[in-house]
Amino acid sequence: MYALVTLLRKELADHLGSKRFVILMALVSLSGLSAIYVAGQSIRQAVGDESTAQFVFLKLFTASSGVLPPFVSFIAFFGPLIGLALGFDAINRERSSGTLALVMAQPIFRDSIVNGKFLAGVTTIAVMLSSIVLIVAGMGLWMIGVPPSLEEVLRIIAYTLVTVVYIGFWMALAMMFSIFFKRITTSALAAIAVWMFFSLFMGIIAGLVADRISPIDQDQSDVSVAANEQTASNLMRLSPATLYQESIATMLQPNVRTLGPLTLQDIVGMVPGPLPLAQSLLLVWPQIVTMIGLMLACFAISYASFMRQEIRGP
Amino acid sequence: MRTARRFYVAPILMLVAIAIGLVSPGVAAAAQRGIRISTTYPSVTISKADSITLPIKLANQGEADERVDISLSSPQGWTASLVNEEFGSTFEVQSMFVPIKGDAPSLFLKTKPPTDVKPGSYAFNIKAVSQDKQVNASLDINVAVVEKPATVSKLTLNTPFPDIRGSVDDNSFQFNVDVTNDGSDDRTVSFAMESPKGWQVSFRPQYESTLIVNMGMKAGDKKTIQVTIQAPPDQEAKQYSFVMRATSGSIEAKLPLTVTLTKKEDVPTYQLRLSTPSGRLNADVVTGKESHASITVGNTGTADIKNVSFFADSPSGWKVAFDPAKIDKLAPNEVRQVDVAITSTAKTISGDYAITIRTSGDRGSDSMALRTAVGASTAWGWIGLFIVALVIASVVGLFWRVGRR
Repeated sequence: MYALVTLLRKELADHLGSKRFVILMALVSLSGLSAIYVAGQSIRQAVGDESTAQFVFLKLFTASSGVLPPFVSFIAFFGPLIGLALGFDAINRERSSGTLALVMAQPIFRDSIVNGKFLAGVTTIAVMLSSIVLIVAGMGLWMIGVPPSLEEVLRIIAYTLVTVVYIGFWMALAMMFSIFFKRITTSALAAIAVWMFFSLFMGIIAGLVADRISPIDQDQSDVSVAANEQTASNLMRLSPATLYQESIATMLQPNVRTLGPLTLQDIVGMVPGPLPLAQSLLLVWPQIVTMIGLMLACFAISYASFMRQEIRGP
Repeated sequence: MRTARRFYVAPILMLVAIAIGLVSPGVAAAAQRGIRISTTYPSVTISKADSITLPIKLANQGEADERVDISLSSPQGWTASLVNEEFGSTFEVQSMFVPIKGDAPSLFLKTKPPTDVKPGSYAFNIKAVSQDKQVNASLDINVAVVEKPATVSKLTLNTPFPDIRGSVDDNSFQFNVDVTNDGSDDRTVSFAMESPKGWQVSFRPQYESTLIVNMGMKAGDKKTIQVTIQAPPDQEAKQYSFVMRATSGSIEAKLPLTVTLTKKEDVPTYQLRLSTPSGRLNADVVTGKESHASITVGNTGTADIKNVSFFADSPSGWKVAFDPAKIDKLAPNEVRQVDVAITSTAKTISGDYAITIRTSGDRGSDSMALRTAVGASTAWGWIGLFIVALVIASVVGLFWRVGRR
């Protein structure tokens, strides 16, 4: 256990001191700055538009002006890149530079290395993300002058945790590739390929497959359109990106009551209003559980394969 | 030369012949003429002091316009003249132009008997003669004079609702009384009311707020007076009699009015009231499961209400059941608690819904909106946590199996 803590500390020091971290942090800070700028421009309008004036603070993260996307979109886009950047060369760089064998020569267990790297990565992500969320929240507080309610604070914490898990998944994935592939470029390319597949091509593929499975009939009946829509969104949920987007939309927009299509029949008697946090969480609980599972699965695979690998000196 | 003159003569002769031919029919038919003089009332009766104005009509029955001189012969002592009262001025007429088409201007015989006229019949004669004395017409008018008829003096009071019923709590009662001056004279009518001690009465013209004591009425006038009676506080429940009087000089009219006060309970009211025991108007429901809420139904009226039943307007597919479904009898001030079982559909989306609960008895009804918060069952949350725990456990298991190398 002592070895793990030592390794974790070393890895963390490496991460936080690296140029890579500075670049990533600058990127994230930029998105934070743009969020503040966007909020300053559009928050009054965004608040005026809707009846839910009680969730002004959450609007800091979700409000968008015509030109710039909101904070959450920035993070949803950059998050996976941060995860990949932190993980893609975790093991194979040590291997290729020969330091892995040196570390192995120390009196520590082998699993401490992979555990330490994973935990250090997750910690770095958590530090990076919570600091930017706090900066945005703080500047927003100074700007709009409305303190967040307890519910808003809890929602922002939940958002941060879910985002850490999501970025952690991409880091674990990249780490897995860095164990599978000996060359750094290969693992980087593999990780980027997976990311591009899920964020760019999944939508196209889901649409095509949904048109196959439940095609929209000739007269475009409501039933067939709804079935097609449902199939497409179910397929989209195979992508972690979709799971993440649905989760944070529900976390930060209490008015979101359902993620599927809504029929007129469902609306009868409905009183528009925010959901309590527990209900919002229950709504996207499957998504959150899946993301945690994915992250842990990637880690477990990395762990198992690393433990079985042969490590030679340089 | 001669031949030339002959040529001139022939056309001139022809023209003369044509001219004679054209003119001759007019000369031959000039005889058709005729005027007529008439009145709508050739014989009338007046009283001694009256003056009358009778309309006279002149009509041209011929085929040419006529100028007609008019002369009037009237009985001795009477002032009489033929006048026209058009265009805002009155002037005497001696001669009139009567066109064949259109109406001749109207003409009036204006006459007044002398002050010492004797009752009897008097003859007037109007003659109309055309200016060339060729046509004439004449009209006789008979005016009978009688002694002045005796004046009639009568006032009438009338109301459609002379008996008003009210609760002892009420303090103001209104009667609408029609006052008619049936007499032949204009009068000033004063109003008064004989009322029990302490009661206050006020009169005002209908739709007006000014209080009045008397009112000027022309002969034959009919007016509605609004009579407001104010009861002093704390009156016994019984019948109170009033007599309204309208007087003018020596004549008087009476109208009895009554106000019957009843005890409050004698006027039954029917009122149902829905509420909840705690006053909270919301309920929590778990998707697809039956959940219970309590409502109360009370009778805030003063009489029994029978057959009180309940209904609910709920989102489609929901089941809302009431226990008891029906209350046979609800006494005044009685409040009953009713259990409402609300079942949403399994696919209901989480969030707030409005259910309107209605109740109605044989009389009286009420409705209430119950805000229902639908929440997903937390069972899935626990299952999710279990899955996460399972994943963590398998990772730990992995540590055990392959770790520590």
